Amino acid sequence: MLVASLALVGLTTFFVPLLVRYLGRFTGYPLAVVFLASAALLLVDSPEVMSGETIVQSWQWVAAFDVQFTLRLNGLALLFAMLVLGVGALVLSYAPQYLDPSYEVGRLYTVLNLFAAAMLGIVLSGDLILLLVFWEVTTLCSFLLVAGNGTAGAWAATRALVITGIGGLSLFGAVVLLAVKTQTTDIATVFAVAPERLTTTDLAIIGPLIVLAAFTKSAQLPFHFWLPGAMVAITPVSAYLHAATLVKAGIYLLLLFSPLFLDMPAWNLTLMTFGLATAVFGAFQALRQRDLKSLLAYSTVSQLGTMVALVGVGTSAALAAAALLVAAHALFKATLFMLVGIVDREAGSRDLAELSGLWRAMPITAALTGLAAMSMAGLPPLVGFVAKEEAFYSFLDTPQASWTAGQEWTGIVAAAIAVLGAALTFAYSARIFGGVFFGPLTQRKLYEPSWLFLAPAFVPAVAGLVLGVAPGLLNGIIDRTTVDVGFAMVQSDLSLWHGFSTALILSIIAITLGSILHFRRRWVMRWLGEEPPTPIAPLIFDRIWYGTLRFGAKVGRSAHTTSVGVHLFGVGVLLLGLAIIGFVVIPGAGGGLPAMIPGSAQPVDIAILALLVPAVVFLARTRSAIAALVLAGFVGLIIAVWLLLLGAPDVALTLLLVEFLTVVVAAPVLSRLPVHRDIGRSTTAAISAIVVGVVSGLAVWAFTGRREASDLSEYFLAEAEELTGGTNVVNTILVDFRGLDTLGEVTVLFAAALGLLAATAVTIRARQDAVTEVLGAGERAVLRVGARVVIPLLFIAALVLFWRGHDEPGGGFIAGLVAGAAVAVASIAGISLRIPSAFALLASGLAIALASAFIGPLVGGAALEPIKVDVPVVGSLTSSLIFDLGVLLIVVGLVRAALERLDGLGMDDEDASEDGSGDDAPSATNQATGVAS
Amino acid sequence: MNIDIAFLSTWALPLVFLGPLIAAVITFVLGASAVSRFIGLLVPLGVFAVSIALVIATMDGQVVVSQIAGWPGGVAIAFVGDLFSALMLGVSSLLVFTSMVFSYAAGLGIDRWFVPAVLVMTGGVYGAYVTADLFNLFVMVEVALLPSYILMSRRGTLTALRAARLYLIVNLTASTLFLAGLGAVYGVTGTVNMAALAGLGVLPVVGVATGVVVIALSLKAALVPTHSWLPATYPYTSPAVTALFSGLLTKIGVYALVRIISLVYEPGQLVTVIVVLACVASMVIGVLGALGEGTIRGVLTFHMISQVGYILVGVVLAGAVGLAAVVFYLIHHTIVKTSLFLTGGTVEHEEGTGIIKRLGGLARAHPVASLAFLLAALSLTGIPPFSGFWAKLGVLNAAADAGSVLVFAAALIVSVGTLGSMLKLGSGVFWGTPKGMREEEDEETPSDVTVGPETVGATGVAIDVATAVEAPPVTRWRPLLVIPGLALALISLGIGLYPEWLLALSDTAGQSLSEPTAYVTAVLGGGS
Repeated sequence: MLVASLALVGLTTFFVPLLVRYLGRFTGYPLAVVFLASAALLLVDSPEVMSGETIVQSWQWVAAFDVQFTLRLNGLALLFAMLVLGVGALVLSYAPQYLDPSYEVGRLYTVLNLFAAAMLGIVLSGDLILLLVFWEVTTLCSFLLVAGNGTAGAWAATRALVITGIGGLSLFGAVVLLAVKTQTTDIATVFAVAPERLTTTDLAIIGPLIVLAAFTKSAQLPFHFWLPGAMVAITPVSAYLHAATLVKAGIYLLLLFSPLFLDMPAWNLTLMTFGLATAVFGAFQALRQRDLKSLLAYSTVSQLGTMVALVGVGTSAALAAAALLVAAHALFKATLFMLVGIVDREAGSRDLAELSGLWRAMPITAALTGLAAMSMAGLPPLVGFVAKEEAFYSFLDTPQASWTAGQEWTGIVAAAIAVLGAALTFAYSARIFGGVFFGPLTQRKLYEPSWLFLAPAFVPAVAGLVLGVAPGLLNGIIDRTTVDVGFAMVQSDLSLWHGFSTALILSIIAITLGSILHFRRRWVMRWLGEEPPTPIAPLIFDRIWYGTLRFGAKVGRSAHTTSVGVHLFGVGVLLLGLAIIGFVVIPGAGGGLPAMIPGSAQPVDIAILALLVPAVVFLARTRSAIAALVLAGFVGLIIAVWLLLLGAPDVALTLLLVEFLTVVVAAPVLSRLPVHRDIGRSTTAAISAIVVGVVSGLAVWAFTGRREASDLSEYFLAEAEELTGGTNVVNTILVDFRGLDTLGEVTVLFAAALGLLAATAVTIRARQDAVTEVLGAGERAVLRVGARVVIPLLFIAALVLFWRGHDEPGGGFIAGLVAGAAVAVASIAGISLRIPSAFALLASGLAIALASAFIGPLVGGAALEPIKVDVPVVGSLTSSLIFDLGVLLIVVGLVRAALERLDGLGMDDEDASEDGSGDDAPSATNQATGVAS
Repeated sequence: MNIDIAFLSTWALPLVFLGPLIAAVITFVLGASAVSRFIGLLVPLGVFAVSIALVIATMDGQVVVSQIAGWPGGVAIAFVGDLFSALMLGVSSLLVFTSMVFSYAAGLGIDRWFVPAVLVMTGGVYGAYVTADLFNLFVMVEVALLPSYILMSRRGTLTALRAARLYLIVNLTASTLFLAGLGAVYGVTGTVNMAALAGLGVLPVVGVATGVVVIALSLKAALVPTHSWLPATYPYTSPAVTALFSGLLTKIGVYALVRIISLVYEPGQLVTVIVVLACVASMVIGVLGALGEGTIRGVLTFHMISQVGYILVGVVLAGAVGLAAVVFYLIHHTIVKTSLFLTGGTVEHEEGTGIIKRLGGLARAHPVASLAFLLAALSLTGIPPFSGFWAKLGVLNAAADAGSVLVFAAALIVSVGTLGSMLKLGSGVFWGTPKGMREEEDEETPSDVTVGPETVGATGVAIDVATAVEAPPVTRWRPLLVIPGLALALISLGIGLYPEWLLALSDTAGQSLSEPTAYVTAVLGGGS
C-alpha cells in the first residue's frame, strides 16, 4: 500500500486545477479526504511495521546511475508520514474557511498538494537520489508558496530559497559522495555496507554536508532567519510547511543519518551546540515579538533547536525524545497557527498590542488556544509536557552517550540550557494566551467563528490533551523509531507521572522561572528592549548578496569593452604557455626544434626577405589607409612569388589574384574614409606583434620538417592521375579528393556575397565621385581603351585555365578569379559588362556545385564522387568539371557582388535597375522585391 | 527497428550538410516568401528525422560512415554518424526549429536574407557534427561562421555593429589559429583525419601541435581565459539570433573540444590538469559575471561560460563516466539555455528592453513566459525533476569517481551562484514590483533592497497575501513567441522525469568516446 499512498497524493496534483474549477476555495475538503485516505493506506501496513518489519517496494528507475525507485516504511517513516498527512488534512480543511473568496486558489492548492506528496516522498524514500529529488521539490514548493502571487513575498522567498538551496546542494554533495563511496544508492544498503566502505575521512566530509542541509532546512543558527521571513505566506502555508512539516525535514534527515555518525564526537557536539544555541536564541526572539506569526515562527526556530540538540545527544532515549517532540510540536504549533489565523480573520489583527480580551467574545477559540499554548509551554497534562520531560531526562543523561566519555558536566550544562529555553517558552506561551484573550475587550461585534473554521484546530488541540493524559499510546511507535535510528529495541514507558524525578524538578524550575518572566514582563522587557528587534541576519544576507553582485560586476567588467586587445589577451597567454610547454616537453635538439634540413634555405630567400621586411615596416608605420592597402598587396605579391619559387604555381596564382582583387575592391572604400592622423602607435601592439611573429616562426620550425612526405602525399602523387584522369595533383585534390572542402569554401564565398547583397549599400550615392578620387579623367580614358583590349583576353584566359585545370595549373577557382579580374578591370574603367548579375551567378553557381554532388549517388556511387564519362570528340570527362564550373560562377559572383556593393562602380543604369534597386531603399525587404523580380 | 545503413551512408549523412545548402539556394532565389519560411522550418525537421534514424542505428555503439566521394578510408573526408554526433544533430536541429519559429514570430522572417543565411549556418553546424576530418571541420566551422557575421550585424544598431566587429575579429583570430594548428598537426603527423590522429597525443610534439587547435576551439567555446568576447557580443544582436548562436555556434567549439581531446589525448596527460583548471575557472568566473550583469541576455551569456566549464570538465575526468556526463550535460544545457534565451527574447521583444532594472512584475502580463522561465531556470540550476539535476549528478558523480575534490566542490558551490543569478532574473523581471511602480534606483546600491526587506518588514512579517486584492491580470502574449521557449523547457522536464533513455544513450556515447576503436576502424577501415 506504500506506493498507493504516495501515488494517491501525488497524482491528485494533476486533478487539483479541475477541482478548483468547480469547488473554488472549497477544494481543500476533497484534498483533506485524499490525505486521510492516503494515511489509511499506510495504516494498513502499520501492524507489520509495529511488529518490527520494514516494508520495501522497489522499481528500476534510472539504470545509468543504478538508482531504484525504492519506497520504505519503517517506524521513523510512519511517524513522519502520519504527521505529514494528518496535519495536511487538518490544514487543508482549514484553508477553505480561511481564504478570502477572491483569492486565487488554483495555484495554492496545486502547490500545497504537490508539497504534501514530496514531503511524504522524503520520509518514504528508500533511495538516496529519490530522497534528494523529493527534498528539492519541497524547497521549491516552499519558495512558490512564500512568493505567493504577489510582490510582498518575493524577496523573503528569494532569501529562503538561497538558504535552503544551499542546503539542497549540500545534500546533493553528501548523496553523491555516499553513493560513490558505498557503490549503492539504496539507503538500507548504505547503512549495511557503511562500516567497511566508509572511512572516517569520508564521514568527516559527508557529515558536515548533511548537517548543513539539515540546519538550513530546519532553520538553525545562523540560517534561521529565512523562517520568520517566510511568514509572509498565508497562514495555512505557515501552519503546514513552516511549522509542522517542511522544517522537520531537516530533523528527519539528522535522525535518518545519525547511525552513521554516532561515534563521531564532532557530530554530537555540533548538533548540541547549534541546537541549544538556536533553542535559547529563538525563545528570546519569540518573547520580544509583537506579531503573533513572528512570535510563532521564532518559537518554531527554538523548538527545532531543541530537537537538533536531542539528536546530538545521541542516546536512544534522546533520539526517542526528539521523535516525540516532533510529534508534539506538530500538534500544538499547527493548532496555534490555525488559531492565530482565526483571530486575524475575526479581529483583523495579529498584533499583540492591538488584541485584548477576546476570551469574552470567542471562548472556544480561547480554550483551544489555551490547550495548545499549555502544550507548548510544557504544562501537564498535555503531550508537550511529556515530550519536555523526556527531553530534560535525555539532556541530563548526556554523559551516558559514548562520545562524552562520561563527563558529568555535559549533562548539567545541556539540561541547564534546556531549562532556560523551556522557561522562555513558558513565558511567551503565556503571553500569547494572556495577551490575546485576557484583559478588557476593546473590539465590538466579535463572534466565535463557525465550527467548520474551528474544527481543524480543535482536533490537534484535543489530540494533544489525549496523548498527554495517555502518552502510552505512543510507546510503540517511539520504540520502533528508536530501532530505526540504530538502537536496540527498548521498552519506552512514556507517562505523565514518573514520580518525583530530576526531570520533574527541572520542569518545576522552568515553569517557575517562566512565570516570573511572564508576570515581571515589564522588568524583563526593560532589559530586552520594548520594541521588536530588527533582525541582523537578513541584513547580513543582503550585504553578502549585493556584495556578490558587485563583485560579479567587477569580474565581468571586461565584457563591457569592445577593445579587441582585451578579449584576445587570454588567447595570447594560453599560446605563450603552450609555447613554453612545447619547449620543455618536445624532445630534440635546441629545446624542441628539429635540425635544419640541409638545402632548405636558398640564396633567393635573402632577396625575398630584403623586399618583405621593409614593406612590412612601412606597412606598420604608414598613416594612410590606401598606402597600407597597397603595401599589404605588395607583401602578398612577394609571398606569391616566393610560393612560385618553392614550386606551388596554383597557390601562387590564387594568392596573386586574390591580392589584386582585394586592392581593387578595397581601395575605393578606403579612399573615402577619413585619414586618421591621430592614430597612436601602441608599443604594446608592436611587442605583441613581434612575440606572435617569433612564436609562429618557431612553431613552424618546430612542427615541420620532422618527417618525409606523408603516406597521403605519396598516395596522391602516385595514384591521382590513374584515379581521376587529371595530372594536376593540386586540382585533383581540390575537386576530386577533397571536393567537400572546396564545396564548403565556396559556400563560405556564397555566404560572404550574400552578406554583401544584404548590406544595404547606404553610402554609395555618389558612386562616380569615388572614381574621380582615385583616378583623374585622363587616366580613366586611357584605362578604358586598355580595358577593352584586356577584358576579352582575361575572359579567354579564364576559359583556358578552367578547361585545363585538371591537368595544368588552373581550375575553377583560379579561372573565377581571373574572370573576376576582368570584371574588376571593367569596373575601374567604368565599362559595363553584359554578364549575369551577381545574384544570378551566385545562385546558379552554388546550385550547379550542389547538383554535381548528387551525380554520384544517382548512379550508385558516393556523394560528390567524380563520375567519368567518355565523350567521343573531347575524350574522357568527369563530373568534377561541373562542380568546378559551379566554383567558377560563385567566385565571379562574389567579385561582382563585392564591386557592386563596396565600390558601387562599373554598373550602368541597366544593371542597377536589375538588381541594384535596393541601393535607394533603406530596408532589405524592399531590396528583396527588387532582386526577386 | 530496421534502419537501412547503406541509405544513411549514401544519402542521409551527406544530405545533413548538402540539404540545408540546397534549401539555402532555393530560399535565396525565392526571397522573403511564405515558401521560404516553410523551407526554413522543413530543413531542421528533416535533419531531426535523420538524427533519429542515426540514433537508432548507432545506439548499440555502431558507427555509420560515409566516405565522401567514395575514396578509400583515410584518403576521403569521412562523414561519420556515431551516437554522439547523432545526438548533437538531433538536439541542434530541434533548436534550429524552435528558434526559427521564434524568429518568425519576432518578425525576422520578413528579412529576405535571414532564412538563407540561417540555412547556410546550420548546414555548417550539422557538417561540423558529422565530419571526421580536422580540416573539413575547419571548413564547416567557417561555413557556419560567415553567415553568423551577417546575422550578427543585421540588427543594424550601432551597438550591434560594434559587437559584430568584435565578434568578427575574435572569430577570425580563432579561425586563423585553428588553421595554424591544423598546419602544425599535419606537419607532424602527415594527416588531418581525426581517426588517424587517435591516441597520437601521447607523442609530445603531436600533443603540443594539437594544443594549438584546442586553444583555437576554446576561444570559440568561450572557455576561460578566452571567454570575455562572448558576453561582449552575444547580447547585442537580436534575441532570436542570440538564441540560435547560443545553441549552435559555441556548441560546435564545445563539441569539437570533446571530440578532439577525447580522441587525441590519453587520460593522465598534462592536458587533463589544464582542462580541469580552465573549466573550474570558467564555472566560477562565468557565474560571478552572470551575477553582476544588468541585462537578461548579459546574465544568460555569462552563464554559458560557467556551463561550458561544467560540460567540458567531464572530458578529462573518470573516462567513460565523465564523457557520458559530458554528452548528457551538453544536450541538457543546449536545450535549456536556448529556452532561456527564447523566453528572455520574448520579454525583450514585448517590453522593448532587456535591462533588468527597467523590468519587473511581468508574471501577470506574461504568465506563460514566466512559467517557461521558471521551469528552465530550475533546470539550469539543477533542481529535480528537471534534466539539469541529472546533468549535475553526472558531473558530481564523475568528479567523485575521479576523486577530484576541486571539481566536486566547485560544481556544488558554483550552483549556489547559478541559483542566485536565476533568482536575480526571476525577482528582477518576473516577480516583484512592475516597472513604473518602482523608483529608479541604482541596482548596485543596497537601497535597492526596498523591493524586499523593507516591505517584507524587518520583523519578517508583512501583508498577508490572502487578503490582498489585486488587479485582474492583464494577459497579453503571442503564442508563437512564447511556445518555443516553453516547449524546450517542457522537454527538459520530460527528460528529467524519465531520464533513463537519454542517460543510457549518453552512457553508450561516453563509452564510444572513451574507447574510440569502433570510430577509428569505421573511418579508416575501407569504404562505406
